[in-house]
Order: sequence, then structure tokens, then C-alpha cells
Amino acid sequence: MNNKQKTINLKINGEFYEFEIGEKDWQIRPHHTLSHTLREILNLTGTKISCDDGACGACTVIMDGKAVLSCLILTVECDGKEITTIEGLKDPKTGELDLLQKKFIEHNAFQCGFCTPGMIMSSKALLEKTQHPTEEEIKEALSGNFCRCISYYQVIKAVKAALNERR
Amino acid sequence: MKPFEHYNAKTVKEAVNLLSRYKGNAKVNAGGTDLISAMKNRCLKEYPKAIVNIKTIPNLNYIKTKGKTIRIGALTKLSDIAESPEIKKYCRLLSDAARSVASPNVRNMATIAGNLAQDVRCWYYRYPHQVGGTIKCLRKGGELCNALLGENRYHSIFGAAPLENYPCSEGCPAHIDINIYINEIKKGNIDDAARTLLKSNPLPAITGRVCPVFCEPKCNRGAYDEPVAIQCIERTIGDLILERYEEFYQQPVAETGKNVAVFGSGPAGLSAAFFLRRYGHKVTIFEKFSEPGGMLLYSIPPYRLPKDIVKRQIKALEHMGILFKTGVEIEKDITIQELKKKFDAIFIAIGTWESIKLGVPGEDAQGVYYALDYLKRINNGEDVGIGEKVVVIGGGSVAIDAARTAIRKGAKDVHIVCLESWDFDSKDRMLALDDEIIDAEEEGIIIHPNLGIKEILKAEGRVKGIQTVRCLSVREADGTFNPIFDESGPSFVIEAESILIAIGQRTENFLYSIFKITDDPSVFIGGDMETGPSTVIQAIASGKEKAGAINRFLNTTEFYKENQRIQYFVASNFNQLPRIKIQKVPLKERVSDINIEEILSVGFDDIQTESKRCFNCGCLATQPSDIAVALIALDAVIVTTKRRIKAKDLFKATATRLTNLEYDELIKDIIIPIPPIESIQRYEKFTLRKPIDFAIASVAGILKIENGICKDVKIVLGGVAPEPICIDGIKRDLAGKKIDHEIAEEISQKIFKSAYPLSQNAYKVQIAKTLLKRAIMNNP
Ligand code: FES
Ligand code: FES
Repeated sequence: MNNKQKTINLKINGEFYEFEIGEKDWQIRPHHTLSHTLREILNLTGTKISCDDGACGACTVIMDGKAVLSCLILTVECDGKEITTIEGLKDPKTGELDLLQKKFIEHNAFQCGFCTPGMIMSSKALLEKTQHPTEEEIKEALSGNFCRCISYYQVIKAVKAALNERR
Repeated sequence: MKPFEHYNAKTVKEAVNLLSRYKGNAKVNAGGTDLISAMKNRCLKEYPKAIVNIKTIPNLNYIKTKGKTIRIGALTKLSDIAESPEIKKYCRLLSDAARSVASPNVRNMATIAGNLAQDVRCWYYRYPHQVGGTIKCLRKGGELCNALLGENRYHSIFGAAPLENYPCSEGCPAHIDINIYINEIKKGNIDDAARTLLKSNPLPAITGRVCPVFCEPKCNRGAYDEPVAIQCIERTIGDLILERYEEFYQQPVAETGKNVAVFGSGPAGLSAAFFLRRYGHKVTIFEKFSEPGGMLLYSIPPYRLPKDIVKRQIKALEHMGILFKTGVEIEKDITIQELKKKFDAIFIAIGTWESIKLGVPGEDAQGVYYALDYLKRINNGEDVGIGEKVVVIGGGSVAIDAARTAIRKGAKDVHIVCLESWDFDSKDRMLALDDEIIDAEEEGIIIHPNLGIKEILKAEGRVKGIQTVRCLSVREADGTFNPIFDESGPSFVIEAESILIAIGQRTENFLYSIFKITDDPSVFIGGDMETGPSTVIQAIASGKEKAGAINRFLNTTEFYKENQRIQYFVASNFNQLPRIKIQKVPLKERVSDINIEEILSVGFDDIQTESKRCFNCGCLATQPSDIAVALIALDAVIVTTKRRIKAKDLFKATATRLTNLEYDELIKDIIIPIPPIESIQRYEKFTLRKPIDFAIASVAGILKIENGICKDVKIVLGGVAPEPICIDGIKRDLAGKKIDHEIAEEISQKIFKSAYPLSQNAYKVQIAKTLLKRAIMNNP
């Protein structure tokens, strides 16, 4: 037993990755968080780190269909997972933005934009899961995403607009 | 984060093996935010060497309804529990509790077992760097919970989780549960306090007077202002116990038929007899003097320990059925061999009655006494004419007792001469207690420190005085007695009519043969006889220990078991109260008569006030798990790798842990009996903000109401104590009653009457009350 795992396989934004676990610079160390791996190893810096403690939602990504906080997930524990970050929302071929992204832009649903990737990923997970969420459900789904610029009202409008257009 | 070893466990067995291999140095990651956050913040007492991920274990993620139960796998996500239609239908309060946890993204990661096993969320424990450095909170090896004196708005309103060891109790040779009995006094339960005290100290009225008090210097309050006056409290309770001795010193409920002889009726003998009798053995105490009590009666002067107290103490022990035979000297009147024929075991604690000789010229002069003999004769009512000018030689308690007795017996000019130093911090400090020394000086006794005796001067065979020599050092650095004198230095004479020598004592010479028979398994030796001169409480502790050993030797079935220390919260608080002032009889009056007790008694009101000064040291952090509160309300059973345990029994907090899960024990399964479908289920929670959402207060309630009348009810409170609190008596109070505003108000008043809010969190009482009323009224 305890043949310690040596590699980690991940599917990130549709691409397959295999990482070695170890102490070298390019390897994943046990104490690396997913947000660290995304940003520092894969250069996917769309995912933000703010509190780094599970309290703000800036680091939200979608893992196996669910919005989760990448700052409190160890990369070594993600073997076999499918992960989507903000970079994975646009159409890979045409580069066209996702509907939610467009609506966020249309409704100026951000000011500094730091919380926005997290907001969009939480909203995206909701829209994937629920066909017709109510305003209450939208608020609930976004209740772990904090914005220091008070973009909340515009965010709700943007999500509702995306829903309307999807209908 | 600092590095660690990491394992993705594939099976429960593998995880358990890893955990036991790391012997507590590995932590389990079951999802959620708790562990990784604690590691990032470096707030754990010890950073784990390894992390065992259990989310990789298959088949532990399920919600199954079968018959009348719902089973939830340990690794089921909180989001799944919150959204499960079955749980919503049958266990509404659990889905509400799950939905109240943190934010949706956290619930997508967190598992039910992780939530149950999470660590405390106390601010002091979590975020030390916010105040510029590590706070050594109680959970991390510090002595006090910071919430006691500092910021405490989020902490417990029902007291603290108890320490595993209390400093006061650890300091006491007899390990009296001081915090427990003081807590009872705080609550006004004087009888319970008395019973707790008696469990480890059978002679509290005596130690309440003459104990050198090992506990108070250890009291954590000492670092803040002054220690709690524990001895003063003990004395008042001790006096109550003696007053009502028939209640407190009862015959054992059953007799073992074994017969034990105790030789010596000093504190060790009395203590052993008490515990042996409690075990149900027949006990006979033999005493060589005409009255029982040993040192208590014959050495300690009555102004410190009135004879009446000793006599009443003996009477109390007689009431338990202990027999006393006085005027019997061991080996002279009866031999050990003879005793062995009649008794199943023998305990010998005959103390140290032989004074050590000074060994200087002139010691044979008329007018030289040994302090112990002097005290014995005085305490026996004899008149010993020692004149007006007296020198006592020695720096211990017996020397002080002799000097103060002499003053009371009419001596005008009393000097104490001792090798030791008078300085508080010197390694050569006098062995007498500080208070004793102060009292003696107050009474006009002159102390000459750092002096040895060269010779006792005499004229015509009678004492004339002493020739002194300067003493440079008494003890070596390691405490070994090795006095060094300045032989060539100045030497002066102190005149005296009598000399009282008090430089130590030992067991009488001819009794040394007794020690030879200690390999006889039925003969036990204890008290001062074993240890050399010590203190009353050390003798009591020795007696208790030996009684236990004798009981094991007699190998009787143990019907008398000391109650295990019950787990409950201790009412931690901080009151700005000055230490009680102990009143003494005015100087003039007290030195006029040896029988006037020097220190006055204190009443119950005063000791109750004093008991409120006790911090009741413990951890004031609250249990953070919402799911725990819900599962207790639902009467759930938790299945671990080691046992099946009721939820309410799993969350038993001490100051260092929240559950009684062992380090290599994993939660596997949760079994919830489905409450009757018509019952009303509520989970109410008040928090301040969303993602870090620990309850300021929460209430889980299940009620059965028919036509407005309550048929059944169960209420559990969360966020207000170190454990979820299950309100036991609520069914009695509510069942059969019409549910209305009035009754809800009445119940909540009653429940929160026993709350002990801290300096800044009384507001929590109001919030919790409101939640409780809402739950009872089934109001939104
Ligand atoms: S950075 Fe992950 S929650 Fe704030
Ligand atoms: S737009 Fe600035 S933090 Fe949200």
C-alpha cells in the first residue's frame, strides 16, 4: 500500500495535462493549491487570489460542474478532475466570448474587475445547473463572491440579462 | 504553506493505517476550508507532518432512505445534503443547517464528516498575526483563554470547556478538584461542593486551617491580581461538613468483610482510614497517645487548629464506623505479628516523633527542651515553666509554633535563631511559611537569621544563653543541606532562660525495624514516617494513595467507585473583585490565650463572592459545526471506524479538543432516524456575514404539536457553548402545554437564566432567546 502517487492528470479548459509530483520547479508539490498551479504553472492568471482563505470567492473555478474555491484545494487532490477557468469560457475556435461575459460587459458589471472572474464562474455554474433560476437563487449562488467595488447590482442585472437571452 | 507529506487514500483502511502510523501528526482532509486555512494561517499547535486526503475513498458519498432511517455517507457534500429532496422532506432541519454553512462554493467542497470534525474558529486561535505576533492561547499550550480578559464577543455564554488538568489541582498533593467545588459554590450548591471536596480530602476543616497551601501559588488569577483565597473557602466548607457530619461521613453502603488496622491517628492514618472505610472495609485505628489526632492534636498549637475541630473530626470518622483504640503503642503493647493474625492488612503511619539533637556542647543543660516535646506537653494541658526569656533554635514551622506558643504562655522575650536566611528569594530561605514568619514578628518575636549555634552556655547546670556563629550558606545549589560557618567571624551571645530546639524530627529509633518488614505484602507504611516530616496535606495524600493500594491488595470487588469527573462547562468569567481580606483576632487578644483561634471564620456569602473570583480556567471558544447541532436534535448515530456513537456523545469538548474522536478514528456513516412526518423542524441561525458564517447563536428544534398543544419537543442550542447544548428538561416544561407567546417567553427565560455571559457577549443571550422563541412558536 501507499505507493505514493507520482502523477496528476487534469483536464483544464478542454486540454489534458499530466503533472509530476515532486520538488522540482516544474513539478507539483503537495502543498500547492489549485489556484497556485493555475496561475504560476499554467499562467492562467484570469483566476484571481484575494483572501487566499476561502472567504471572498475571487478564486472560483468550475470543477466537475461545480463552482469551487481553488485557493483551498490542493492540486495533488485533483487527479482526474475536469476544470474550467475564466479562460475556458470563450469559444476556443472563434474566440467569441461566452454569453455571460458579454452581458457582464454590456451591463458594466464590474469596476476594477478583480472579483469578476469569480463572479462569472459562480454564475456560470448556476446557469449550467439551473434552467430558470429566480433572483433569490442568483443572489444565493453569488453569496460567496465579494466585490469591494460594489458591482453587485450590475452583476445581478447581467446574469438576468444572460438568462433572458438564453430563453 | 509549509511542505508536508501527502497521501490520497483509496480505502478507509489505508487512511486509518496512515493516521495511526503518524501517531497524531497527520491530519485528514475531507474537503471544506478548515484544514488548509488553518495550515496557511499557521495556527495549529503543531503543523501536521502529513495530510491524508480521504475524498479519494469511493462509496462514502450517498444519501439513502431505508425504512425509518436516512443514512448519509461521510463524504457527502454539504451542497448535496442541502439540496437533497429526501432530506428536505424528512429532515428539513438538517438541510436548513447544511444550507446555512458558509457560501455555496464552500458547500460544494465541504463534506458532512469534515464539518463535524472541524476545529474551533476562535479569533485568538486563528489569526494571531492580526495583533502582531503569536497569541499563546490555551489550545496552544498557554495558561489562560484570551477571551477571559480580552475581546470575547463571539465566545461562549455558558462557560468554558474544562482543562484536562487544572493548575491549582495539580499543585495540591491530594489533587483536590478545586475548580469543580468552587464552581459549585459559585452556583450556590454548597452541598455538592462539600461532597466534591470530601472525595479527595477527608479533613477539609483541618487543611482549611493549617495547610501550607500549595494550590494558591499556582492559581492563574495570581498573574492578574491575587490568587483566589482557596484555603479560606475550603475552611468554611470544611466547617459545614463537620457541622453536618452525620450526612457527610456515612457508613459505606456495603461491607467487604475485610478488616484493616491503621497505626497512628495523624492525618495520614485518618485519611487512609476514611478511604478504606469508604471502600467498605472494617477499620480500627490504634493510637499511642491518650487521644487520637497525632500531630494535629499534639504538635499543632490550638490557636492555629482548635482542639475542638480535631475532636469533631474524629467523631465524624467514628460515625462512619471507624474504631479508635488509644493508648496502644506499636511493638510495645502489640506487635505487628500479633496484628497480622487479626487483620487482613495493616497500615502504619506513626509519624516522626523523635527530635533531632543539635550536637553542641551544653545541650544537656537544664532548661534545654525539644520543641516537639514542649508542644506535646503544652497541648496535653501540662504547664511547662520555661521562663520569660526564650531562644528557639530552628527556621521551620515547628520553631515558629514553639515560639508563638511560648509567647502565649507568658514568655516576654522570645528569639528565633536559625541558619537560614530571611530573604524571600534566597536559596536558603527559612522553611517556615511567609505568613507564619510575619505573624511571629508581629507578635514581637525577634528572628535572627544566618546564625548557627556554637555552644549552649550554662551556669551551674542551667541554661544561660547561646553562643552564635555566623552561617554563610545553608544549602548547596541542588538543595543538599551543607551549612558553612564563618568560624573566625564575629560571634555573640543571646541570653536565655530556656532553649527550645526545633531543627527537625524523625521516626523513633526503635521503630526502624518496622521498615524492614515492608516487603510483607500485607503491611503498608505511609505518611511522614515514609517521607520524613512533611505537611498535613501530603500526609492526607499519602493516606489516600495507600488506602488505594491496600484496597487493591485486598482485591475486593469495588462497589465504591469515585464518580468519574463529569464533563461539563465551567463558568469561566472575570469579575473585578478584590481578594477577600482574612480577618484575624487583634494582636493583644490573641497572644493572651493559646486557645483563641487566630484567624476568624468567613461566612457563606463571603466565600460565594470569593468563588466568583475564580476564572474557572477553560477554553471559551464555541463549537462551530451547524451539522453537529442538527444531528443532535435529530438523535443521529455516528458510525466511525471504531464505534457507533450518539451524536450528542461525540461532541464532548475539553479545552484542547471539540469531539472525542481519536486521531486515527474516521467518521464513516451517519444514521438518522426519521422524525414523525407531522413534526415541525426548525433550524434557526444568526450570523454576521456570509462566507465566514459561524453562528453567533443557532437553535435546532423538533416539535410535535397537536391542536396547539405541545406533545413532544427537542431543542439543541449551537454557537453559545463549547459543545452544542441539548436542553434536557424542555420536554417536561413544554409537553401538554398550549404553545403561545407566554410559554415561549417563560421557557427561554428559564433556559438562559443559567447563562454566564462574558464582559462583551451578553447580547448573544438576547439573540439566542429570540431564536429559541421563534423555533418554539414556529414563527418565520
Ligand atoms: S481567494 Fe479563494 S476565496 Fe478568496
Ligand atoms: S469590481 Fe472591483 S472587486 Fe468587484
